[in-house]
Amino acid sequence: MKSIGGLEVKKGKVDENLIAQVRYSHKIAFFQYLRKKSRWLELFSEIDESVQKPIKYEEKDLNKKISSLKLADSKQDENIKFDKLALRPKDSDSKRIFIFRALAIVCMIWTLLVLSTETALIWDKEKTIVNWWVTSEFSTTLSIFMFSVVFMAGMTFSSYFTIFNLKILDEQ
Amino acid sequence: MKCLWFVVYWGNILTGSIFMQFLKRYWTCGHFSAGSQIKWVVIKLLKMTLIMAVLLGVMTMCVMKFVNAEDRESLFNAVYTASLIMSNVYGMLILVVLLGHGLIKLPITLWKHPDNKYNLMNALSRADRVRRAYRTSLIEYHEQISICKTLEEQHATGFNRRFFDILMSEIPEHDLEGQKNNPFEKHRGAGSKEGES
Repeated sequence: MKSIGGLEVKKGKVDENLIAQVRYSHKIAFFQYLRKKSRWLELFSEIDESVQKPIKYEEKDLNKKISSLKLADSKQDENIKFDKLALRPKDSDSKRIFIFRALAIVCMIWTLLVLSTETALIWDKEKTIVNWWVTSEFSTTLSIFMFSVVFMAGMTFSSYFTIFNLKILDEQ
Repeated sequence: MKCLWFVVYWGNILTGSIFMQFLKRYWTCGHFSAGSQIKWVVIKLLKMTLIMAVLLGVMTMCVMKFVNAEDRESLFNAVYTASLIMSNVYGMLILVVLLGHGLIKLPITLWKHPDNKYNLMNALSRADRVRRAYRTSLIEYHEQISICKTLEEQHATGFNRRFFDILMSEIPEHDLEGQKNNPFEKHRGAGSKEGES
Protein backbone atom coordinates (compact mmCIF):
# COMPACT_ATOMS: atom_id res chain seq x y z
CA MET A 1 0.00 0.00 0.00
CA LYS A 2 1.27 3.45 -0.94
CA SER A 3 0.12 6.91 0.09
CA ILE A 4 -0.38 9.53 -2.64
CA GLY A 5 -1.53 12.92 -1.34
CA GLY A 6 -3.18 11.37 1.73
CA LEU A 7 -4.87 8.60 -0.30
CA GLU A 8 -4.04 5.00 0.59
CA VAL A 9 -3.54 3.33 -2.76
CA LYS A 10 -3.05 -0.41 -3.34
CA LYS A 11 -1.31 -1.50 -6.52
CA GLY A 12 -3.93 -2.75 -8.98
CA LYS A 13 -6.81 -1.57 -6.79
CA VAL A 14 -7.36 1.87 -8.30
CA ASP A 15 -10.98 1.71 -9.34
CA GLU A 16 -13.60 4.22 -10.51
CA ASN A 17 -14.49 5.24 -6.94
CA LEU A 18 -10.92 6.24 -6.08
CA ILE A 19 -10.39 8.11 -9.36
CA ALA A 20 -13.75 9.85 -8.81
CA GLN A 21 -12.57 10.90 -5.34
CA VAL A 22 -9.41 12.40 -6.86
CA ARG A 23 -11.46 14.07 -9.61
CA TYR A 24 -13.77 15.60 -6.99
CA SER A 25 -10.79 16.93 -4.99
CA HIS A 26 -9.35 18.43 -8.18
CA LYS A 27 -12.68 20.15 -8.95
CA ILE A 28 -12.89 21.59 -5.42
CA ALA A 29 -9.24 22.75 -5.48
CA PHE A 30 -9.79 24.48 -8.82
CA PHE A 31 -12.95 26.16 -7.55
CA GLN A 32 -11.17 27.38 -4.41
CA TYR A 33 -8.25 28.67 -6.47
CA LEU A 34 -10.60 30.48 -8.89
CA ARG A 35 -12.63 31.95 -6.04
CA LYS A 36 -9.67 33.13 -3.98
CA LYS A 37 -7.88 34.59 -6.98
CA SER A 38 -11.00 36.56 -7.89
CA ARG A 39 -11.28 37.76 -4.26
CA TRP A 40 -7.68 38.95 -4.39
CA LEU A 41 -8.14 40.71 -7.76
CA GLU A 42 -11.33 42.35 -6.48
CA LEU A 43 -9.55 43.62 -3.36
CA PHE A 44 -6.55 44.75 -5.39
CA SER A 45 -8.74 46.82 -7.73
CA GLU A 46 -10.66 48.16 -4.71
CA ILE A 47 -7.38 49.48 -3.22
CA ASP A 48 -6.20 50.73 -6.61
CA GLU A 49 -9.42 52.70 -7.12
CA SER A 50 -9.41 54.30 -3.66
CA VAL A 51 -5.86 55.74 -3.62
CA GLN A 52 -4.60 58.99 -5.10
CA LYS A 53 -2.33 58.65 -8.12
CA PRO A 54 -0.02 61.66 -8.15
CA ILE A 55 2.07 60.33 -11.05
CA LYS A 56 0.97 59.77 -14.63
CA TYR A 57 2.66 56.68 -15.97
CA GLU A 58 2.23 53.93 -18.50
CA GLU A 59 3.65 50.44 -18.56
CA LYS A 60 6.70 51.54 -20.60
CA ASP A 61 7.53 54.12 -17.87
CA LEU A 62 8.10 51.46 -15.20
CA ASN A 63 11.83 51.16 -16.02
CA LYS A 64 12.43 54.92 -16.04
CA LYS A 65 13.77 57.03 -13.17
CA ILE A 66 11.01 58.43 -11.00
CA SER A 67 12.30 62.00 -11.36
CA SER A 68 11.68 61.88 -15.12
CA LEU A 69 7.94 61.23 -14.63
CA LYS A 70 5.43 64.04 -14.16
CA LEU A 71 2.82 64.69 -11.50
CA ALA A 72 -0.79 64.29 -12.54
CA ASP A 73 -1.90 67.63 -11.12
CA SER A 74 1.06 69.92 -11.89
CA LYS A 75 3.32 71.20 -14.63
CA GLN A 76 5.68 68.86 -16.40
CA ASP A 77 8.87 70.46 -15.12
CA GLU A 78 8.00 70.25 -11.41
CA ASN A 79 10.23 67.84 -9.45
CA ILE A 80 8.58 64.91 -7.70
CA LYS A 81 8.92 65.04 -3.93
CA PHE A 82 8.64 61.92 -1.83
CA ASP A 83 5.83 63.26 0.37
CA LYS A 84 3.73 63.53 -2.80
CA LEU A 85 4.19 59.78 -3.28
CA ALA A 86 2.87 58.73 0.13
CA LEU A 87 -0.16 56.41 0.01
CA ARG A 88 -3.22 58.62 0.44
CA PRO A 89 -6.91 57.89 -0.02
CA LYS A 90 -8.91 59.86 -2.57
CA ASP A 91 -11.08 62.62 -1.11
CA SER A 92 -14.57 61.41 -0.29
CA ASP A 93 -17.44 62.77 -2.37
CA SER A 94 -19.72 64.89 -0.13
CA LYS A 95 -22.88 64.09 -2.15
CA ARG A 96 -22.13 60.38 -1.87
CA ILE A 97 -21.56 60.75 1.87
CA PHE A 98 -24.89 62.56 2.28
CA ILE A 99 -26.85 59.91 0.32
CA PHE A 100 -25.27 56.94 2.09
CA ARG A 101 -25.60 58.47 5.57
CA ALA A 102 -29.28 59.25 4.88
CA LEU A 103 -29.76 55.60 3.83
CA ALA A 104 -27.92 54.48 6.97
CA ILE A 105 -30.34 56.51 9.13
CA VAL A 106 -33.33 54.96 7.33
CA CYS A 107 -31.82 51.53 7.99
CA MET A 108 -31.30 52.38 11.67
CA ILE A 109 -34.99 53.33 11.95
CA TRP A 110 -35.87 50.06 10.22
CA THR A 111 -33.68 48.12 12.68
CA LEU A 112 -35.37 49.84 15.64
CA LEU A 113 -38.81 49.07 14.14
CA VAL A 114 -38.04 45.36 13.74
CA LEU A 115 -36.35 45.01 17.13
CA SER A 116 -39.12 46.90 18.95
CA THR A 117 -41.79 44.83 17.19
CA GLU A 118 -40.07 41.54 18.03
CA THR A 119 -39.55 42.61 21.65
CA ALA A 120 -43.11 43.90 22.07
CA LEU A 121 -44.47 40.62 20.64
CA ILE A 122 -43.03 38.78 23.64
CA TRP A 123 -44.80 41.00 26.21
CA ASP A 124 -47.86 42.49 24.60
CA LYS A 125 -48.63 42.22 20.89
CA GLU A 126 -51.10 45.12 21.05
CA LYS A 127 -48.25 47.52 21.75
CA THR A 128 -46.43 46.84 18.48
CA ILE A 129 -46.33 49.47 15.74
CA VAL A 130 -47.60 46.85 13.30
CA ASN A 131 -50.68 46.25 15.44
CA TRP A 132 -51.25 49.99 15.85
CA TRP A 133 -51.07 50.43 12.08
CA VAL A 134 -53.40 47.52 11.31
CA THR A 135 -56.04 48.55 13.89
CA SER A 136 -55.80 52.28 13.24
CA GLU A 137 -58.92 53.91 11.78
CA PHE A 138 -56.77 55.60 9.11
CA SER A 139 -55.40 52.35 7.70
CA THR A 140 -56.83 50.93 4.51
CA THR A 141 -56.53 47.47 3.00
CA LEU A 142 -54.04 48.77 0.45
CA SER A 143 -51.86 50.46 3.08
CA ILE A 144 -51.85 47.30 5.24
CA PHE A 145 -50.92 45.24 2.18
CA MET A 146 -48.12 47.66 1.24
CA PHE A 147 -46.87 47.78 4.83
CA SER A 148 -46.78 43.95 4.99
CA VAL A 149 -44.95 43.72 1.67
CA VAL A 150 -42.36 46.34 2.73
CA PHE A 151 -41.90 44.68 6.13
CA MET A 152 -41.38 41.22 4.67
CA ALA A 153 -39.19 42.55 1.84
CA GLY A 154 -37.03 44.41 4.38
CA MET A 155 -36.53 41.27 6.46
CA THR A 156 -35.68 39.24 3.37
CA PHE A 157 -33.27 41.93 2.16
CA SER A 158 -31.53 42.02 5.57
CA SER A 159 -31.11 38.24 5.42
CA TYR A 160 -29.73 38.42 1.87
CA PHE A 161 -27.34 41.14 2.99
CA THR A 162 -25.96 38.73 5.63
CA ILE A 163 -25.55 35.97 3.07
CA PHE A 164 -23.68 38.17 0.56
CA ASN A 165 -21.77 40.24 3.12
CA LEU A 166 -20.28 37.42 5.19
CA LYS A 167 -16.91 36.54 3.66
CA ILE A 168 -15.61 34.34 6.44
CA LEU A 169 -15.16 31.34 4.16
CA ASP A 170 -13.37 33.39 1.52
CA GLU A 171 -10.71 34.64 3.89
CA GLN A 172 -9.87 31.38 5.61
CA MET B 1 -58.08 23.01 -1.29
CA LYS B 2 -56.83 20.81 1.54
CA CYS B 3 -55.29 18.46 -1.02
CA LEU B 4 -53.60 21.37 -2.80
CA TRP B 5 -52.19 22.64 0.49
CA PHE B 6 -50.95 19.14 1.28
CA VAL B 7 -49.21 18.93 -2.12
CA VAL B 8 -47.61 22.39 -1.78
CA TYR B 9 -46.52 21.81 1.82
CA TRP B 10 -44.99 18.37 1.41
CA GLY B 11 -43.71 19.18 -2.09
CA ASN B 12 -41.85 22.12 -0.64
CA ILE B 13 -40.37 20.06 2.18
CA LEU B 14 -39.35 17.19 -0.11
CA THR B 15 -37.92 19.51 -2.78
CA GLY B 16 -36.01 21.56 -0.22
CA SER B 17 -34.60 18.60 1.66
CA ILE B 18 -34.20 15.45 -0.46
CA PHE B 19 -34.27 16.76 -4.07
CA MET B 20 -31.96 19.71 -3.37
CA GLN B 21 -29.55 17.43 -1.50
CA PHE B 22 -29.66 15.01 -4.41
CA LEU B 23 -28.88 17.67 -7.02
CA LYS B 24 -26.17 19.28 -4.85
CA ARG B 25 -24.32 15.99 -4.58
CA TYR B 26 -25.08 14.91 -8.14
CA TRP B 27 -23.49 18.01 -9.74
CA THR B 28 -20.39 18.00 -7.55
CA CYS B 29 -19.58 14.29 -7.39
CA GLY B 30 -16.58 13.07 -9.38
CA HIS B 31 -18.05 9.88 -10.90
CA PHE B 32 -17.85 9.36 -14.61
CA SER B 33 -21.31 8.31 -15.80
CA ALA B 34 -24.86 9.32 -14.91
CA GLY B 35 -25.53 5.81 -13.52
CA SER B 36 -22.53 5.77 -11.19
CA GLN B 37 -23.24 9.36 -10.14
CA ILE B 38 -26.83 8.48 -9.20
CA LYS B 39 -25.69 5.32 -7.40
CA TRP B 40 -23.11 7.25 -5.37
CA VAL B 41 -25.59 10.01 -4.48
CA VAL B 42 -28.32 7.53 -3.51
CA ILE B 43 -25.89 5.70 -1.19
CA LYS B 44 -24.90 9.01 0.41
CA LEU B 45 -28.53 10.04 0.81
CA LEU B 46 -29.45 6.66 2.27
CA LYS B 47 -26.72 7.08 4.88
CA MET B 48 -28.06 10.55 5.67
CA THR B 49 -31.63 9.22 5.84
CA LEU B 50 -30.49 6.44 8.16
CA ILE B 51 -28.96 8.99 10.54
CA MET B 52 -32.19 11.04 10.36
CA ALA B 53 -34.24 7.90 11.06
CA VAL B 54 -32.11 7.14 14.12
CA LEU B 55 -32.59 10.70 15.36
CA LEU B 56 -36.33 10.45 14.71
CA GLY B 57 -36.37 7.16 16.60
CA VAL B 58 -34.64 8.75 19.57
CA MET B 59 -37.11 11.63 19.43
CA THR B 60 -40.05 9.17 19.30
CA MET B 61 -38.69 7.40 22.36
CA CYS B 62 -38.42 10.73 24.17
CA VAL B 63 -41.96 11.68 23.13
CA MET B 64 -43.24 8.27 24.30
CA LYS B 65 -41.57 8.80 27.65
CA PHE B 66 -42.95 12.28 28.27
CA VAL B 67 -46.36 12.04 26.53
CA ASN B 68 -48.98 9.57 27.62
CA ALA B 69 -49.93 8.26 24.19
CA GLU B 70 -52.86 5.90 24.56
CA ASP B 71 -53.00 4.57 21.02
CA ARG B 72 -50.95 4.54 17.85
CA GLU B 73 -52.76 7.55 16.32
CA SER B 74 -52.13 9.84 19.28
CA LEU B 75 -48.46 8.74 19.32
CA PHE B 76 -48.21 9.57 15.60
CA ASN B 77 -49.80 12.98 16.24
CA ALA B 78 -47.39 13.69 19.10
CA VAL B 79 -44.34 12.79 16.96
CA TYR B 80 -45.72 14.75 14.01
CA THR B 81 -46.25 17.84 16.18
CA ALA B 82 -42.81 17.52 17.76
CA SER B 83 -41.20 17.27 14.27
CA LEU B 84 -43.08 20.35 13.09
CA ILE B 85 -42.04 22.33 16.18
CA MET B 86 -38.40 21.30 15.76
CA SER B 87 -38.34 22.20 12.05
CA ASN B 88 -39.91 25.58 12.87
CA VAL B 89 -37.34 26.20 15.61
CA TYR B 90 -34.56 25.33 13.12
CA GLY B 91 -36.04 27.74 10.53
CA MET B 92 -36.43 30.48 13.14
CA LEU B 93 -32.84 30.08 14.34
CA ILE B 94 -31.52 30.44 10.77
CA LEU B 95 -33.75 33.47 10.22
CA VAL B 96 -32.63 35.09 13.48
CA VAL B 97 -28.94 34.57 12.67
CA LEU B 98 -29.31 35.90 9.11
CA LEU B 99 -31.65 38.73 10.06
CA GLY B 100 -29.76 39.73 13.21
CA HIS B 101 -26.46 40.24 11.41
CA GLY B 102 -28.14 42.14 8.57
CA LEU B 103 -30.13 44.41 10.87
CA ILE B 104 -27.08 45.57 12.82
CA LYS B 105 -24.43 45.45 10.11
CA LEU B 106 -26.33 47.11 7.24
CA PRO B 107 -26.64 50.63 8.79
CA ILE B 108 -23.01 50.50 9.97
CA THR B 109 -21.82 49.44 6.51
CA LEU B 110 -23.88 52.16 4.78
CA TRP B 111 -22.58 54.78 7.21
CA LYS B 112 -18.93 53.90 6.60
CA HIS B 113 -19.14 52.97 2.90
CA PRO B 114 -18.63 56.46 1.34
CA ASP B 115 -15.57 57.18 3.54
CA ASN B 116 -12.58 56.49 1.27
CA LYS B 117 -10.05 56.58 4.11
CA TYR B 118 -11.95 53.93 6.06
CA ASN B 119 -12.36 51.80 2.91
CA LEU B 120 -8.65 52.00 2.11
CA MET B 121 -7.54 51.11 5.65
CA ASN B 122 -10.08 48.29 5.78
CA ALA B 123 -8.94 46.90 2.41
CA LEU B 124 -5.24 47.17 3.33
CA SER B 125 -5.82 45.39 6.65
CA ARG B 126 -7.37 42.44 4.76
CA ALA B 127 -4.95 42.45 1.82
CA ASP B 128 -2.24 40.24 3.31
CA ARG B 129 -4.72 37.63 4.52
CA VAL B 130 -6.60 37.51 1.20
CA ARG B 131 -3.42 37.30 -0.84
CA ARG B 132 -2.01 34.53 1.35
CA ALA B 133 -5.27 32.56 0.97
CA TYR B 134 -5.03 32.97 -2.80
CA ARG B 135 -1.38 31.82 -2.96
CA THR B 136 -2.16 28.85 -0.67
CA SER B 137 -5.09 27.84 -2.88
CA LEU B 138 -2.79 28.02 -5.93
CA ILE B 139 -0.28 25.68 -4.26
CA GLU B 140 -3.07 23.31 -3.22
CA TYR B 141 -4.40 23.30 -6.77
CA HIS B 142 -0.97 22.36 -8.12
CA GLU B 143 -0.72 19.63 -5.48
CA GLN B 144 -4.04 18.18 -6.67
CA ILE B 145 -2.77 18.16 -10.25
CA SER B 146 0.38 16.48 -9.03
CA ILE B 147 -1.69 13.78 -7.29
CA CYS B 148 -3.75 13.22 -10.45
CA LYS B 149 -0.65 12.87 -12.63
CA THR B 150 1.24 10.65 -10.17
CA LEU B 151 -1.77 8.38 -9.81
CA GLU B 152 -2.13 8.15 -13.58
CA GLU B 153 1.57 7.43 -14.13
CA GLN B 154 1.79 4.73 -11.45
CA HIS B 155 -1.63 3.09 -11.41
CA ALA B 156 -3.18 3.34 -14.88
CA THR B 157 -4.20 -0.10 -16.18
CA GLY B 158 -6.33 -1.35 -19.05
CA PHE B 159 -9.25 -1.57 -16.60
CA ASN B 160 -9.17 2.04 -15.37
CA ARG B 161 -7.54 3.73 -18.39
CA ARG B 162 -10.80 5.32 -19.66
CA PHE B 163 -11.42 7.01 -16.27
CA PHE B 164 -7.87 8.35 -16.17
CA ASP B 165 -8.26 9.62 -19.75
CA ILE B 166 -11.32 11.68 -18.73
CA LEU B 167 -9.53 12.95 -15.61
CA MET B 168 -6.40 13.98 -17.50
CA SER B 169 -8.41 15.66 -20.28
CA GLU B 170 -10.02 17.89 -17.63
CA ILE B 171 -6.71 19.23 -16.32
CA PRO B 172 -5.98 22.47 -18.16
CA GLU B 173 -2.54 22.88 -19.73
CA HIS B 174 -1.96 26.20 -17.96
CA ASP B 175 -3.23 27.62 -14.67
CA LEU B 176 -4.86 31.06 -14.38
CA GLU B 177 -1.43 32.70 -14.05
CA GLY B 178 -0.46 31.34 -17.46
CA GLN B 179 2.05 28.91 -15.90
CA LYS B 180 2.26 25.36 -17.18
CA ASN B 181 0.53 22.79 -14.96
CA ASN B 182 3.57 20.57 -14.51
CA PRO B 183 3.74 18.60 -11.26
CA PHE B 184 7.52 18.63 -11.22
CA GLU B 185 7.62 22.42 -11.39
CA LYS B 186 4.50 22.95 -9.33
CA HIS B 187 5.67 25.72 -7.00
CA ARG B 188 7.47 27.74 -9.65
CA GLY B 189 4.18 29.19 -10.85
CA ALA B 190 4.06 31.36 -7.74
CA GLY B 191 5.28 34.56 -9.42
CA SER B 192 2.63 36.37 -11.40
CA LYS B 193 1.95 39.91 -12.50
CA GLU B 194 -0.94 40.36 -10.07
CA GLY B 195 0.92 38.70 -7.24
CA GLU B 196 4.07 40.74 -7.71
CA SER B 197 2.10 43.97 -7.87
